[in-house]
Amino acid sequence: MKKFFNDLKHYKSYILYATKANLKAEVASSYLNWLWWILDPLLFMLVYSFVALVVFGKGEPFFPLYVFIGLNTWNFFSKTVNKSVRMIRSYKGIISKVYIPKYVLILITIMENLFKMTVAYSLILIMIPIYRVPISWYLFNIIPLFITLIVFTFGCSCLMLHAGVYLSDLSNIIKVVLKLAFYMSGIFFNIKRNVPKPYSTYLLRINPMAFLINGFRDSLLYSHMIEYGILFIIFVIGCIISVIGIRTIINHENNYVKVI
Amino acid sequence: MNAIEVRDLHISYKTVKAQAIKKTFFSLKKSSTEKYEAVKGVSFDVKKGEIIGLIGKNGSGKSTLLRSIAGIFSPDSGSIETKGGNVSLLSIGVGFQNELTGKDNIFLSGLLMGFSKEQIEEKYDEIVRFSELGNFINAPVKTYSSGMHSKLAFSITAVLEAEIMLIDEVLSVGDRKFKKKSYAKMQELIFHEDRTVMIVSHSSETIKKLCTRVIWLNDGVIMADGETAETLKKYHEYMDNQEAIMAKSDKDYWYHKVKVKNNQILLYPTYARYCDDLRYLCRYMLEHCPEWEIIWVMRRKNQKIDIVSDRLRLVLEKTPEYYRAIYSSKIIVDDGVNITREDIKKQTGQKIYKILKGSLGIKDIRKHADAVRKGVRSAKLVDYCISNSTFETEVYRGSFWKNSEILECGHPRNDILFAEEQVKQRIRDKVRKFYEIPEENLIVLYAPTYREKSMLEEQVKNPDFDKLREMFSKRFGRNVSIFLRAHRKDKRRWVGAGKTEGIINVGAYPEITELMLACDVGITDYSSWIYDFLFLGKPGFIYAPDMEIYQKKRGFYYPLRETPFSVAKDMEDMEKSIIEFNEDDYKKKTEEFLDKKGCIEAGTACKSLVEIFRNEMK
Repeated sequence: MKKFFNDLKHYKSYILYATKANLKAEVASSYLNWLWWILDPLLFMLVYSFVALVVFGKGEPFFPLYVFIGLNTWNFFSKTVNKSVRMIRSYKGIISKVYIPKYVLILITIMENLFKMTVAYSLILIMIPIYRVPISWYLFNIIPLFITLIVFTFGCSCLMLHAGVYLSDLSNIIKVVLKLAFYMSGIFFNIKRNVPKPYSTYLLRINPMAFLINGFRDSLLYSHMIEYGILFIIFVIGCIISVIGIRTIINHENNYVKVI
Repeated sequence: MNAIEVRDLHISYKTVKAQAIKKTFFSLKKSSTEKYEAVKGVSFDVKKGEIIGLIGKNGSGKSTLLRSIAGIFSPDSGSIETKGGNVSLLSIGVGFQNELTGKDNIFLSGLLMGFSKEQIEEKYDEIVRFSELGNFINAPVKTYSSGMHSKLAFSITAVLEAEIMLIDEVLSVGDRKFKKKSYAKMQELIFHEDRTVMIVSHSSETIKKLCTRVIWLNDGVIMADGETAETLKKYHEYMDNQEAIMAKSDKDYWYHKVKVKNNQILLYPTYARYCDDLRYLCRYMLEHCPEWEIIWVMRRKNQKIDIVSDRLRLVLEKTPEYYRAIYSSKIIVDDGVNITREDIKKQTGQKIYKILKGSLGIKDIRKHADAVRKGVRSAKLVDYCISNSTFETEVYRGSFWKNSEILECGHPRNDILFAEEQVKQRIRDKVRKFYEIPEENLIVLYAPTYREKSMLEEQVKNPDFDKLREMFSKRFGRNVSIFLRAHRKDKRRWVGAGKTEGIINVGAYPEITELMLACDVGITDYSSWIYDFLFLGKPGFIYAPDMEIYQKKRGFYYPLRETPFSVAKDMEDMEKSIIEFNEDDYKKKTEEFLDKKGCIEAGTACKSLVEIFRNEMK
């Protein structure tokens, strides 16, 4: 773990530069440029709102924001994990030429997606007064929520990065798993209300993403306290898998090149 | 001070290959983790400022070693310490992120090499200038050509001067201009006194020019480590030796490994222009012996063989398949002393047949360039010699093959000369059509024997071809085309051939037998094809300006005067011979000659031989 924190310091500027460069490169070729960082979540919000409100005819208070929060939080997690599975292969060129701690690559991805999520959450802050959402001190609960989300995502990504090297078709499977998790996390419907009783509680407690997304909504929209006990457990779990993930990567990273 | 310290380094590739999930789930066996050790216990120090060359054959662990010094591979055991600053590895192929711009890639590469952002900014302009990329630097790398790719990669390494440089086979890149520039830059970098350099290269020249010390790796172990010239010498000696051992062990391996297959027959041809025996034998066997496996030995890859058949197996000389074939064939047919090219042992039950190219030829084969050495060796191996006359039998007996059995069954190459008129006509038409000779023209084939270069320059004068045409035209009352054909190794250039109308160089035509069928008159000096030509009954002449000298050097079995041909020593003689040529007289002389030599040739050689082989195979 000491190596991890040393590397963090050592590769700080690399991570920052790479994040910036990647973000720039992503939009450089499109007409609307950085506007996509805003447009993308907004448009998807419309799609899912349409599906829920018009097709299923069910909604929640402040439904567009409800979907918006769910979608962006989910995207942060799923995009990072998804990319991690193929990470070593997509960075093969660099990895086989120079040493780089492999979790640095995950950190770059997390930074990118974190940036996009931050843009989205800033939009929420703008939209809250527009939708006349009552504001409360519970708002600050999103800070521990964010930290837990990041730690949990990082841990999952580390494990996926390692497994993805040795199992070449893992990425196909992960896609399916993530889709399933997408529906089990209540992105555009309320789990509590739409899933029959004992299951909804299980889902919310066992599925960390469902819990976290719910927590964001409670804090931002419904002035509701979050269950700190569960949040703490998720945080600890996140820390444990992160440590396991980092250890695994440190032990194996210099063999990755030999495999791919 | 040491810049690099390597201690008892072991690196192995666990071949835990990336697996498909399917395999992992459905195979009960644990994934096959074969371990391949690329570097086995290597230790050395590199002093600061040293330039080290790493040599060794492919797969000896050089690149692995370099990469592990660069930190890309982790050692399985042992240690690598690099002291002082940044290490850069320059190797073929570049590590860029394709979606990012050249500029971003410069910064990212620099940061990864351990430079700070400020240091890179300082050198940025120089890198761009050196790379000659201009405005492309702001375009994504994926839009670059491969040349631009390597130029940029090279420039980064060259301008951001790392203290330890590891160079894997790349000393210069790009087009010619850039190559020069990059090579010069590289030399400047390498020779800088504070810089420690390790170079992997297969070019001894490069190593000699640049390195102060050479480490020779072989199968992951250091074989030698020391002064450049000395180590290189050891390395070359070893490699030469290895090659020899390899070839030998191959041979021995197959000798013990394979068993003789009863229906397998191997044809070992001489690739001279006068070696049609095996060709005709091969065709006959392909047609008449469907159950036999027939193998043809090639000297070079992609050698042209004008036998078209899926059944004929071709093996390249000195390859494992070749040794396997040699040692598993029941019958080997050799139309020269090819079998002596390899120091092979004979398997029990194997039979080797030899065919002589000369037959009724006049030249003493014992005086052939390296006849003695090869003849003696061949005689030890050959079981049967194929002969077409009592004369040829005597030649065998009188030279080297004293103990081999003689089979007087005729030569496969001559069967076609006794074929039905239709078959011969078809070949005649084919050749005439190939060289676009009009039907009414008389074709004269001039094909002299081989002479060494020295003999050529001194005495041999080609006949005056224009005059020849005139003479034959006068004698036979037809237009004349002359075919010229020299020995394969003969350096003679037919001056005027192709330029003068009616004189054609037919050296490239595969079979002399077909040329013999196509032409109407044959001329040679001492070549033995003219004695096969007798079977066709067509007029033959001998033009031998250097008769005495040649006879002294090579020796004749019988005097030229005993042949049915009239012998000319110059163009005047030649004219006389042509004008005085009498067909009946010639025919009578031919019969007498063949009779005297005890010739039994009757056009059934292939058939008789196949019968003999068939009995042998039982």
